[in-house]
Amino acid sequence: MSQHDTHHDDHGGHHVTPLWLYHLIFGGLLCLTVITVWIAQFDFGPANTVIAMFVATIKASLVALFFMHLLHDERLNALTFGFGLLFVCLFFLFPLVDIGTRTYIDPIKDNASILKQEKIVKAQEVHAKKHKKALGNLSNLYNRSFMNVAEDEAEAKPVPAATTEPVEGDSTAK
Amino acid sequence: MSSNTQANPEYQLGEKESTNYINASKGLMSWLFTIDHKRIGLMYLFTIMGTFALGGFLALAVRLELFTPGQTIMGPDAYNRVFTLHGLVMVFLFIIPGIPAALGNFVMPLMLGAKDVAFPKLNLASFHIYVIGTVMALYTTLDGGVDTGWTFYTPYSSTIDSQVVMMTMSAFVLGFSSIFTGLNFVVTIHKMRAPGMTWDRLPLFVWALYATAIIQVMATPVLGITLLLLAMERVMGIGIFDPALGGDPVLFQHFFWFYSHPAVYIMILPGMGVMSELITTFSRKRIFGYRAIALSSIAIAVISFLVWGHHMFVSGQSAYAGMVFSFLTFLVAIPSGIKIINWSTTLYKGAISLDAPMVWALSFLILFTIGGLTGIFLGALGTDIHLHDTYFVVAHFHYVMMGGTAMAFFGGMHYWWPKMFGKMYNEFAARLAAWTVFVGFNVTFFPQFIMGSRGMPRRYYDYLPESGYQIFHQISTVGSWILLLGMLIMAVNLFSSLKNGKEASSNPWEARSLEWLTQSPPIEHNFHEIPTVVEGPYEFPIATATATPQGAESSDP
Amino acid sequence: MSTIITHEHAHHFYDNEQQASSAKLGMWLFLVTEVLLFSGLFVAYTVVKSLHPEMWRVASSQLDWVMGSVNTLVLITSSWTVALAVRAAQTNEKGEKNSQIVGLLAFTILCAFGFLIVKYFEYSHKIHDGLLWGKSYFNHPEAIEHLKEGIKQTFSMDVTALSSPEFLAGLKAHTAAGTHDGQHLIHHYASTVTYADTLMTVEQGHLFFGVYFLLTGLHGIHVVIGMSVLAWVLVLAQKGRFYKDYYTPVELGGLYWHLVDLIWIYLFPLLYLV
Repeated sequence: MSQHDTHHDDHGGHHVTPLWLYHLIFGGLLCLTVITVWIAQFDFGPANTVIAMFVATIKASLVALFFMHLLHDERLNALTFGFGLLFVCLFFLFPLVDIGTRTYIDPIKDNASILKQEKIVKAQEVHAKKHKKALGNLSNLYNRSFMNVAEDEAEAKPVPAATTEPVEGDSTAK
Repeated sequence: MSSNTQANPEYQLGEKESTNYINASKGLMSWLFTIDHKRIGLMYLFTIMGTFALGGFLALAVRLELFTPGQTIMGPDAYNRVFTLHGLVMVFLFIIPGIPAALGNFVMPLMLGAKDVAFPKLNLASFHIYVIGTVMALYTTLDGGVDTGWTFYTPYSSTIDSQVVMMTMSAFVLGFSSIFTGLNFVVTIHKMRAPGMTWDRLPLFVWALYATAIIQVMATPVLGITLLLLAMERVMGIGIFDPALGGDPVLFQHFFWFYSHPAVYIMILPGMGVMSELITTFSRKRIFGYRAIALSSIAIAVISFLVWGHHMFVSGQSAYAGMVFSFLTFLVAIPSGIKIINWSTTLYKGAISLDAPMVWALSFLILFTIGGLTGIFLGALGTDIHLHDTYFVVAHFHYVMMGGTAMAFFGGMHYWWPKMFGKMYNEFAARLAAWTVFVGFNVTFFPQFIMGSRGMPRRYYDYLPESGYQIFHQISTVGSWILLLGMLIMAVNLFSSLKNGKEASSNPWEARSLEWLTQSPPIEHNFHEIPTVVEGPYEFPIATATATPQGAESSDP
Repeated sequence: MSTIITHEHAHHFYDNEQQASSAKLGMWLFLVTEVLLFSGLFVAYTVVKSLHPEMWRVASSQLDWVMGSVNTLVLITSSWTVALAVRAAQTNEKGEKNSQIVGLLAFTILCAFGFLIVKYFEYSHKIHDGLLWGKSYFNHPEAIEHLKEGIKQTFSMDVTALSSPEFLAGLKAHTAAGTHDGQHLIHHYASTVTYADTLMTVEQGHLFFGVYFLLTGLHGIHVVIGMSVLAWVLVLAQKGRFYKDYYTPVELGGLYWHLVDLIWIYLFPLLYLV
């Protein structure tokens, strides 16, 4: 008689997960923890974060689906949680799009000097790919050391000595 | 089936019970610690009237200051504090809780045919937290206030010497109140509907509250963490938003608008819901495009999360992000347009009666359309460079927020006033107030479009006498006095109706949704028996026949 | 023989079923708000890291991954036991499993204590080294020394030689040459310059520790709240309130505790490992 859309779901709130499954999931979580710590010894560059997040997501899914019963619970609860995660993704997406593209040149202000700079940056990137390991984060470095150290005396300040107040050192550079 | 469409006629005609939710128990404590959604709604309503009056007086002070160039009634520092507080009070204390927590709390469970919201104690907690947050905000105001604007932009807000931490904490606390209301509403709408109240029989006000509640739940926590980070920035010098410490001030704007853009839909969506009720009831016609209006509320809720960057076109965010945000911004126009067009189509060939709530509704329709269309100008990247931070923006959002939400709030208040208190107000005075406010509103804000497009920056304390802005400022200030007059008429009329008003019947507007089934004011547990719903809320019979609510109280077949 | 107290639903619900399902939906919505609250800090983490990748690497290597791992294991175990406690309540027919519920909850709370104790040692270590947030970081010169030491280990290079004016002058000359000559000089000095660059960013090290303390601090607060909730549930369980038709508080308390675990599952690799 009542019209609650998820009121008497087949699986209902009374689904009881068998004990062995809980133990299995627990074992899986332990293994994945060991794996993620073990993998962290190796340096895969930027892929480090991706791998770690991948493992973490598997772990989180296990907890959410089995320990938190999302798999057999009312579908609405899973939907709610999924919807929340969607908004988390949006929250990540736009600021990162902004930060990631902020150094790109405004296409409207296109002119010769900018084109030249783009060329240099591109050449650096090609170069950086060749010598990835040795160079580390070259394109960043190149821009900074090249533009600042060479052209701007003030920016190429020496490493602040430990005894001086670093905040002051920073503000004088501005 | 058709035999059930009539509400129990005896109940309709029978004499009113002497006990209702207002007089069921007595004493201040029975109100402050009630868990009855109707009483909580009323407490919200009166608190919100108070905060609206406060914000309104601050606005009048701002307008008066701008009447002449140079100092008129206050110095620049006081001015900065006054406009900031006007923004904070109106946004956090009036508009956001306005319709959902006051009107929604009262009406929504009745509309669903429920005895209460799902979590009555949480509902009460939400009100208490709201009061605590309000007290904190007022205390901060007396303790010097803040002059950052309601947006708290860093690095100004993280470095300036004022009560920013206290004010952000008050907004943080108010956020919890908003979350609890939203959470409660989502669960109530999912789980507490009366038998037969399917999703496509829900009144559109409920749909709008549902969409609002989703935003409240999804966006408000981000406001919480943003304000927390700002406070930590000041207290601990975290530096995430401070370029001098290696952070990024634009990131603060991302954080802030992730909440605050969806928040403008927290403000307007419930108003749109009220509109759907008023337009159908007073044109005595089935709503045009029920499903489109219902789903466009949800669409607005989701799209609202995709567009926040249009507040930041000139902030130094990347040009690419700006383009994406500008494009996405235009998407919001689609669901909003759907609503406007469907309301207009509902009016078409309806038996329109210009009762006071309908006057408010028509004001909404006109003002919101103007506000919405000027929003398109601001969403366009190029135009926004010129219009950004001018009075054009001020006029735009006042047309949407005040011309939209506030009009709907007052319309809804007049509409449900007889249900809340069982008293009718003076109809002539109510219409007079509505028309006065409509005129005053336009006189106040339309000149701001013009001076904004000519370059008058917002938030400025002063302008040059030879700039030509003065005449617009003066018209605007005079308009604010007309607005005040309208508001006073309304307040006097409504409050005097509590004493002198004539008794209201259970369904004075002959509306169809379930809240009109119970007596006015409702009994303590809303309904004697949970009603069974047999049809949609807008199935009006031919114009002259008497409409009865959409369900019958007897659940026996 | 029954040691359970039958539960009566609140007046505005039709039945227990409706009440339980409403409560659970409400809890999930609340968990969503918690996730979004934390997501703000995770976004801040990601953005600041992308602004200062070198500093981030060095600063994060200052954290003790062993302690982090121990805490991960502790939380996962507690998550498992609280899941078992919920199951015990679900299958509690006539109150025969009351003590089992209580025991499992008590163990979970014990784990939470363990977590906080490890956290205490971690924090006191960081405080001792001055590896703190903004204001406090700059009040502790030894913090920067610690980071420099970390950089030295990462790059296996000599610190003092590279911060000398001679080195910087040479560096400047060569990079200036790079404007005409292109790449190979730059290449030659690239790794040393990256190193110097990283050294220059030690001032920004406070950003990492700021984010670290915010994330773990907010998480820690949630651990304490979770403990309190579970303690309250434990008291009710002791009174024999929970049986197969009514175990909402155990379930909701458990959900909250799992969320604390979920957040840590992401927090741990991001702060300690990557």
